[in-house]
Amino acid sequence: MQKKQVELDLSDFTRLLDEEKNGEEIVRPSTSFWRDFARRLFTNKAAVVSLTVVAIMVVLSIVIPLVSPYQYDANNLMSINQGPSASHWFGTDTLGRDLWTRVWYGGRISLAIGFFGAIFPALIGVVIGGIAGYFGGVIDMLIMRVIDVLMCVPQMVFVILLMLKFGNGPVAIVTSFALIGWMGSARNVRGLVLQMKNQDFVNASRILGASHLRLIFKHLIPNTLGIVVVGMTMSVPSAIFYEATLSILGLGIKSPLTSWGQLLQLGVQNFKLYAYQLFIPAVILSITLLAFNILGDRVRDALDPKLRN
Amino acid sequence: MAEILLEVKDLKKYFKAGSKIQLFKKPFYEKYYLHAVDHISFSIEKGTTLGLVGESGCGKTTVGRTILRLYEADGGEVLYEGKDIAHIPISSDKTYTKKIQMVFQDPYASLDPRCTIADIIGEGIEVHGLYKTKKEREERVCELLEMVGLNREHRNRFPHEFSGGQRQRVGIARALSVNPEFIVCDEAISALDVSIQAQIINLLMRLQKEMGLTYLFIAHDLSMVRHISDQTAVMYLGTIVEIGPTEEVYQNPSHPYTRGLLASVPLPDPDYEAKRTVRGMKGEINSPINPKPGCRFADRCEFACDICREKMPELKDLGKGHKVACHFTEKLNSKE
Repeated sequence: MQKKQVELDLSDFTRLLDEEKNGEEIVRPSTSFWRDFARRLFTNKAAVVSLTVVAIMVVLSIVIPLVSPYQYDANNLMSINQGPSASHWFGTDTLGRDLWTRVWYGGRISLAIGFFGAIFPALIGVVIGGIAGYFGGVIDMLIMRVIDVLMCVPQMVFVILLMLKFGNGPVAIVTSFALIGWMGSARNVRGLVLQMKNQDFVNASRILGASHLRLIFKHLIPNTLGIVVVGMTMSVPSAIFYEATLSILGLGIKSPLTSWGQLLQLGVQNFKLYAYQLFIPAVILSITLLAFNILGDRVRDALDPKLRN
Repeated sequence: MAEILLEVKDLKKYFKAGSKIQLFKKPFYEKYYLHAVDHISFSIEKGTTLGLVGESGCGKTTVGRTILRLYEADGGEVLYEGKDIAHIPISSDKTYTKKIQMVFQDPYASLDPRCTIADIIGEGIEVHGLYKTKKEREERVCELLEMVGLNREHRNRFPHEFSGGQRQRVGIARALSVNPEFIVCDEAISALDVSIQAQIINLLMRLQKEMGLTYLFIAHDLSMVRHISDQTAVMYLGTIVEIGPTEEVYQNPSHPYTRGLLASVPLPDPDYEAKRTVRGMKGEINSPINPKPGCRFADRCEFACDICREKMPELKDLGKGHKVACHFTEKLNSKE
């Protein structure tokens, strides 16, 4: 290797002033956890695309039923089972109802079930799991054993019983989904809290005299929130899917009210003659589920790059 | 003689370490206890520093945490200004959480990653309602930051934006936020670089001078302890084997374990290091689970006799407050 002699001229250098020695000014601007998360998420192509798809689905579901000339439950026996056309973009069903309107009206129900079905189990899970993990001992043992027992009951049996009790509407579906879905997130949160509650930053607050409530809500839960949010994004598609499954089985939404699952069920009945009645809602449902799944994946990566496998 | 701020009397902390059932042996059912702290007594005068040294796993940290009541003591007393605080649960007490604070070992684990520096330092101020308006609180946070050598602009940052030494300063500012009298420094410097260690030690000593703080300084770095402590206590497997004024202990170590420990301090001299043989110690540290009767150090001590394996030695005063727990102190000292 060739050695290079560098000529340095002393006059090129000046002494730093004392205040200039302080390098703090060149440090990047302070970022909070959530801002960092948003930055990572929005620089990811797949995340942005799937977020756009989800946004389009949400907007269409809200707007179309409002502006459409047809009612979602208005029968028109003069025009039954028509294929897609200029006046009925997605065609009509066996009772002559406009499918374009019905698909987006069903989107409202399905997406609402998706969102609430993600939020409620997470809420219940955080509270119960947080209590079990923080207090430990007998309380923890009791709660965890109850969860173990509930998890042993086959879900469908559970759901059918709940449906018998609550009837079948969107509210009943969300309720039953929350009642079987909270256990997973409770276990997650409990594990995290258990792991964190003896960490030094919690001890430090304890030594400073912080109360139980303060420890739980200011330190423990904010630190589990990342995982909870990931769980929530992941369970949106499973709630939508859950509703679709129930509706296809005839346990879910009943006509004339509609949802994507219910549209699929009606579509299956006429599948041989009028395939578009099945395919159109199926495609919309699949695209939405795909978008949510990818989004959930990317949210997980963006929340904690360490979790990526 | 100065006023005694904290006195620990006969403190005991055992941890459950499982149990077993034996069908064909006696005893049928046996419980295991880890004797983390076994009948420890010492006292600290106001405005001074007690250095607590010992190898890993000897119970130094447990002593600190039991004084802070993160662990509940299984026996004995912790007298703070003459009042026993060992059995007041920390969650139901506001008086002493304001007086006794702690600086943690790991500056990465001891700051909540979701809180800003202002929230972390301001927590104690909030919990104890020390300031009325938000502005007052903010002023106090800035004052504390400057006291520990950080900038006031740092207050809206998050812990991950700081280096280890800076984080440790934040941890010290947090401890100071409630104007405590007594601070437990639990290995406060061992996770830091050597150059940063010196900075933090100097900061701690400056604060002690300015605010009249009292420290319990837990460490395994013997030279640092010598530098900062007025008194030094040496722990071995849950017991104090030697305690006394720092210079006395360092220049005149009287317990075989202390001698071995001091002889093992590395020196920056390769020739000396190559020739060195550690005297007075052999083997590995024993298990602290259900320890045998007698002196805890007996199995590793080259002077051990039968009495050492039967009877636990008491702390004996050699004068000037220098106490040693060994059956043969006089004999060993006269031999040399």
